[in-house]
Amino acid sequence: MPFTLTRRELLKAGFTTAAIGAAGLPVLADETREGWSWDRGVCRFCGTGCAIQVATENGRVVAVKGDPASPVNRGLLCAKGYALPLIPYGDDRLTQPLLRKRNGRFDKKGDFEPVSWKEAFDVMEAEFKRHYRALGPAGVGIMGSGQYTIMEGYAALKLAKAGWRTNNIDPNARHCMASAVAAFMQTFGIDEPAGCYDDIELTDAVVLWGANVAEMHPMLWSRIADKRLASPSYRVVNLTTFSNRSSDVADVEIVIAPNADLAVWNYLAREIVRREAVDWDFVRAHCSFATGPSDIGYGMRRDDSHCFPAELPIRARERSIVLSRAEAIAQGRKTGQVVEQASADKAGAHWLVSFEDFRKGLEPYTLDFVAEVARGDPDEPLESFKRKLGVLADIYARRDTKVVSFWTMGFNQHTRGTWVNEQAYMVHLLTGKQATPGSGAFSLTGQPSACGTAREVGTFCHRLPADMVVDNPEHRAHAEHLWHLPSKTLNPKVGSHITQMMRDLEDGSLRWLWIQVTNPFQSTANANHWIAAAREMDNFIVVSDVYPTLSCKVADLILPSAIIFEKWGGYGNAERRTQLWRQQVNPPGEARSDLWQMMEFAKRFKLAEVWGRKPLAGLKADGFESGALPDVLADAEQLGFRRDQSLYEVLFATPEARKQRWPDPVAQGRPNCTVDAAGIDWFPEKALFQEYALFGRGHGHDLADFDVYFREDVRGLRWPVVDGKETPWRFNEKYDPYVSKGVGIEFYGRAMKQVPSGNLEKVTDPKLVSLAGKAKIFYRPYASPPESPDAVFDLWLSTGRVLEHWHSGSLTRRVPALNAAMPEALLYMHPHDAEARHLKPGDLAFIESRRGKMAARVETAPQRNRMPRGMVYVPWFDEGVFINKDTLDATCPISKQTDFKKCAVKVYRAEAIAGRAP
Amino acid sequence: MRSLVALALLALACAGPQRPAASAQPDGGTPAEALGLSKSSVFAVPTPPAVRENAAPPGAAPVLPRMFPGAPPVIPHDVRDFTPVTKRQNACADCHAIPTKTEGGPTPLPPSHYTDYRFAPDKAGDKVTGARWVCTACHVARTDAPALVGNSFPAAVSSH
Repeated sequence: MPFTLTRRELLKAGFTTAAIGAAGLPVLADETREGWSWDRGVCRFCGTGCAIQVATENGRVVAVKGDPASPVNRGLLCAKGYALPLIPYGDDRLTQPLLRKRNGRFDKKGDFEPVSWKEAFDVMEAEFKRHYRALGPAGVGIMGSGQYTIMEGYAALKLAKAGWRTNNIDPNARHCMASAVAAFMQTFGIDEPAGCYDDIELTDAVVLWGANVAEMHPMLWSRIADKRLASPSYRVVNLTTFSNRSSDVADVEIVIAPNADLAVWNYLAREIVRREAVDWDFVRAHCSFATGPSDIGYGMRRDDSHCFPAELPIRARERSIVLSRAEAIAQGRKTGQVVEQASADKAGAHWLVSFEDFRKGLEPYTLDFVAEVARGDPDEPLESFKRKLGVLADIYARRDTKVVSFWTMGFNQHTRGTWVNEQAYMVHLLTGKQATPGSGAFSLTGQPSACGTAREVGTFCHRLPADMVVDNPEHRAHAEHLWHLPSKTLNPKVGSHITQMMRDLEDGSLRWLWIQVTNPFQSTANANHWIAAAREMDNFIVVSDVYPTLSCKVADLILPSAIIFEKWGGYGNAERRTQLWRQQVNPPGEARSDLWQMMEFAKRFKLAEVWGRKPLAGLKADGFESGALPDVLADAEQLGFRRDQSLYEVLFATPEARKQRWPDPVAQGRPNCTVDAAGIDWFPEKALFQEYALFGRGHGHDLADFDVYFREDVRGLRWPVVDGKETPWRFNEKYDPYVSKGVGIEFYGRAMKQVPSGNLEKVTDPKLVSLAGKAKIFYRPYASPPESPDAVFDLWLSTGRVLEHWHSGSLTRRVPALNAAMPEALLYMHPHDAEARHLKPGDLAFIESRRGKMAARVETAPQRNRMPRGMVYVPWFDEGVFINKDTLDATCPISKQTDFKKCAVKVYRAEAIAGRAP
Repeated sequence: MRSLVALALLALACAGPQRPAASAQPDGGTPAEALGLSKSSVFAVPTPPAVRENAAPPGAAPVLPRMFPGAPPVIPHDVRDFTPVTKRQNACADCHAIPTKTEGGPTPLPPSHYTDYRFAPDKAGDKVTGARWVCTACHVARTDAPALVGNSFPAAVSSH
């Protein structure tokens, strides 16, 4: 499809730049140099999954370009992607293990000294075994990442769950898309989007819900902008809590109040019903209506333990709340009513309701009510806001308009994150605009392998690979079978999610922690608690990373890791596309791949140390002694294992794994630092991938064979890959081989498909109904956030990213051009809010919440973010502007994902403290 | 006195960047405060540096070297008056959508920017493609902030 704007349309669209004089110039030849060697790879940053070509020369990365053959990004990269060749080469790269020592030995209060890998592992092992003996498997844990390669995540999962028998492994992806996962599972019974990026070109309208795609997924934005500029009738709507760069190309910008997305969806559903726009053929054939309890708390600690005094009033809301007027109307209750949060322990429970009940739930969400609750910019006239909601309703309700809803952290980082994800499906399912080319509710992800590793491999405290869970006996048995483990090796008790692991540290119930490919002490909300717990209590924290991050500063032992080009790996992006890469160069100094670190550390555990009887407080499961995991050593011997065998032999260097020989022709002569450091003749990354793939085949998660991903004609493949064919749209018979013949659409996911029935309040008939092949349309009410601005803490604080930096900035801030472009995190605020606090752009301000305080410089210019009055935004990439000291560790009670987008702060001139002693 | 104490507290609270980088101890140990990009304790409230955006008007400052051949050039001039790029307005293209470079003039967009890589990759058209319309997705401007740490990536090659 060529660029089709006519001159007239061009003028109508107000283009300032018309025809441009490039005709006749040849398309530029590829930039390259003699001596450069090119290979393919994947971008290290966001969840878009841009394919790259990478050039190396003399053992160094020298250039990248976007892969023109990749359907994801067609030869383009964003500013971060183009900086990839520089990310291994910052001067403070970690090249040797560093251990806190005093007087020649490990000391938690000591300074960091370089040590050998042997000394590092000696201390790490001694500390592990000290705490493991005292506390059992619950006393140790791993914090992983959506930046793990697929193989690393799989190795970590296997080491933790099968080796150490702890389920305390959870990724930073918990902070990123756990709400999306929970909603996929509850709605469809299987994780991950139905659609794919091709929807961008195929749809009529894109609606962004809490997704500043222009900055956070720039190459998807490039596709959206391309389509919008070429198609005058194409519509882009940006629904957000503040005006941002995505508004610059959007046709409609809707600035909503925090949490009001819940109300807007219900308004849309109500309109769809009212306008008789429900696609009843679709709904009757493929959907059922459902709801769940509403009094589910906010995922905070239930008691007042370790509470700063200022936190008490917010913490109390975990137990009971007083309904605001909006909540009361939205939930059909009374303003001021005290509601006990009695269902916090069963927040994920749900049951079927009738369509009549569903409709009754939507009844309060009139345009007038929702406009009042949802208008986010106090300076926008209410009538204008209402008109925009009407336009939005038109887009969703029109039978012939294809629409894609994209969301990321605005939805997922939300104390009702699972609900608001489910509401998106509610509207798409009601209108039949789901699982079909050009239409669908589409959750984008923030990390390169949040899907491929965290979700699909299952590096969560409740998961096993391929959507299986630890508290399902059949799933455990299946995993034990594939891993050749004795029965009941796997721990049936769900472990601690990442925020809970921080709380466990503070409680002293978790005392040994290995942090891999992530920076949780910078990225976890309410950070003052966790850094104090880490530094001041008896625990041992290991951080594997490539640069000294804030978490390294908190650690006791720092292990130097290899970065993307220095190891073999694979990522899975937000459209289910799995992409693998070859190692290009070797890591510097003594830096080693994370995989080597795990394999090597596993050598230090004999089966007798981990597979005996282990205390596990709170364990209650069919077939298990209460409070303890059984001794499985006798059964292990029956299976041919020996008590003195190491976890390395049992989990990694298995006879099957060793059949994947190194060198392998697929490497085309390229190195493998894991193989070199381990001194082995087999190919661990390939062995792990092939073993992992067994979990998904035949279960709707099929991956292709390892070597297929390296074929010249393959640019990643979207799973399920069956008979060599990828699946662009799931649940749709035309594209998805898992759909039964003749049904058209089938939501075949199998989880949570046996449910009781009831009304909007409760279950009335416990008899389980089978929903095989169907999706659920959830009714979910509006709820206020646990903390809102008041007279003292009078502003909303939202946090997030900027285009130039990735996550905590540990890579991108070491690229001089990106650092010079965005050297520090700024405090974005409305000019009037700044003025009222006697602040000018560039002034230093304190941003203080009930939990902590930090300083940042004021920005009011309109080029990037245009804040409504009453709300400020601070990106979190900057360890010097440690915004997570301010944020609240409230989570969605279902998904356990933190809401980083809403808490209350006050902002004041930094100098003001001089006049008033604190 | 009270305000003096408060001032001292402020100085302490804001000590981060002013404090000389903690150096290695005699026995070779490195304190945590000396690691990372913010040379301060994780418990401190450091003061971020004041940085200024590039105020040079277009044409006033020299073109900066690219990171590597094919890397998008850094914007060498003030962009505040030219951004944001919107669907109706692209002030960058107003100057840069020109066929050839003139002495001291703007850098022309290369043919890749007129080529629709997704649907018509074989030839350049005569208009900037929508995929490359939002210049700030790939091209960054700069402030006067010095590098936080050095980077030994192969020395930048000259612009071409």
